[in-house]
Amino acid sequence: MQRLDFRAMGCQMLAVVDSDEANAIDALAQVPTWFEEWEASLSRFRPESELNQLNAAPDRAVRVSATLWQVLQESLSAARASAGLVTPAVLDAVQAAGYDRSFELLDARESDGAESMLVADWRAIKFDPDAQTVRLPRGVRLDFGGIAKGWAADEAARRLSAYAPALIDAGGDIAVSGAMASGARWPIAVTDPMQPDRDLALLMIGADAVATSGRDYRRWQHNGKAAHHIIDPRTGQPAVTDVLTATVIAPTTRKAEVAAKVALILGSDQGWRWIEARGELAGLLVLEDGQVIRSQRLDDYVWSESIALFENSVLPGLAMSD
Amino acid sequence: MAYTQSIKRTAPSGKRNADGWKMLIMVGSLAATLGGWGILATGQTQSAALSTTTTASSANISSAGTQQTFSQFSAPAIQFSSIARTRSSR
Repeated sequence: MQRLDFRAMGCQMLAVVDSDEANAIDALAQVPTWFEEWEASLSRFRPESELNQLNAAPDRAVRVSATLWQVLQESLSAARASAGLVTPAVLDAVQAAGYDRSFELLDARESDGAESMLVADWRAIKFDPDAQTVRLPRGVRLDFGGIAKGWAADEAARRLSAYAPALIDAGGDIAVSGAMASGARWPIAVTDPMQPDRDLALLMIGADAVATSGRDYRRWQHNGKAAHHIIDPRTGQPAVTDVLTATVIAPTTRKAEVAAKVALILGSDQGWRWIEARGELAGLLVLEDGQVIRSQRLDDYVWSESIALFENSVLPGLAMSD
Repeated sequence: MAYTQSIKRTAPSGKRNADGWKMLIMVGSLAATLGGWGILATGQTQSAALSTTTTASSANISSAGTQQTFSQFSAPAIQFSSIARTRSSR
């Protein structure tokens, strides 16, 4: 088994192949290059990125690369699936909340400026599949955020799977190409946001992916008030929610990323119901007061011996039926 | 008389009275509980150790304009260990 740690997209990345063969190691060495290419296209923090060029050309049909096209289609699918709670047309609102530069560059984690910005309607984005062109109406600017990371994790794992079973950890959003070479599932821990050096549970992930969305890390002071990077499109401001972190297991990393964000924005009650209503999802919510809520399907993934680590968690459905 | 009773309390015949059995069961339960937590604690310790001490061999390569370091490692022997940790973006 070989691993490669590197930084990309403002996050710590990990790539693993379950093989010591030379061709698998060669492929592993290519992963940072793939992420560099994707970041050059998709980042809002790089002035010359393809995304920024698109954002700077309103009301014009712009031909885009296959990468940007795929991520845009994924983000629009997410907007449809989440009734607009996760939308790519959120850039102005994110910047208005103070997240106007790379997180590492936010001065002393403080910013000032406008209080909020209404989120543009993603349905106004026009595109032509045949010509692979995108037309952004004036006032609509895109930020792919976590979806780009999730897409990149899925794509890198898919590419590596040609050589060996693989795992990609893109800043906490984790894709696997399937089971490990032994046939066993990959052991993946859920970090406790209250004590980041400890784990809440150990998940066994084989054919699925897992992602966590949270307001425990990327947060700052904006105009003297606490702010974070997850915008509620209904208000144009950082989501007001009792959920500190949401971890979701889904068939793909990009779906897990979107679902985790939806659960966080909706809050514990609606967010838990949203997860339970979708048979392909399982989830774990950590609330601001430290309470842990898990969906019933999560037990299919939790290594039984690690249940003790979150023995105080709540299955709301069972609790409500008492 | 008192001396004789004292010898009987040491149960020279190997038999135990009811109180003796209760005490033995309590001590055994406590030892099992502590042992179980010890195993869990060991698993967690090894999990933490895994992330910092798994390098069996390494080689530097240059990729994407930055220096990268490979680390060869084995899949965790202790099932409680993890290969990756999901967390909010960082």
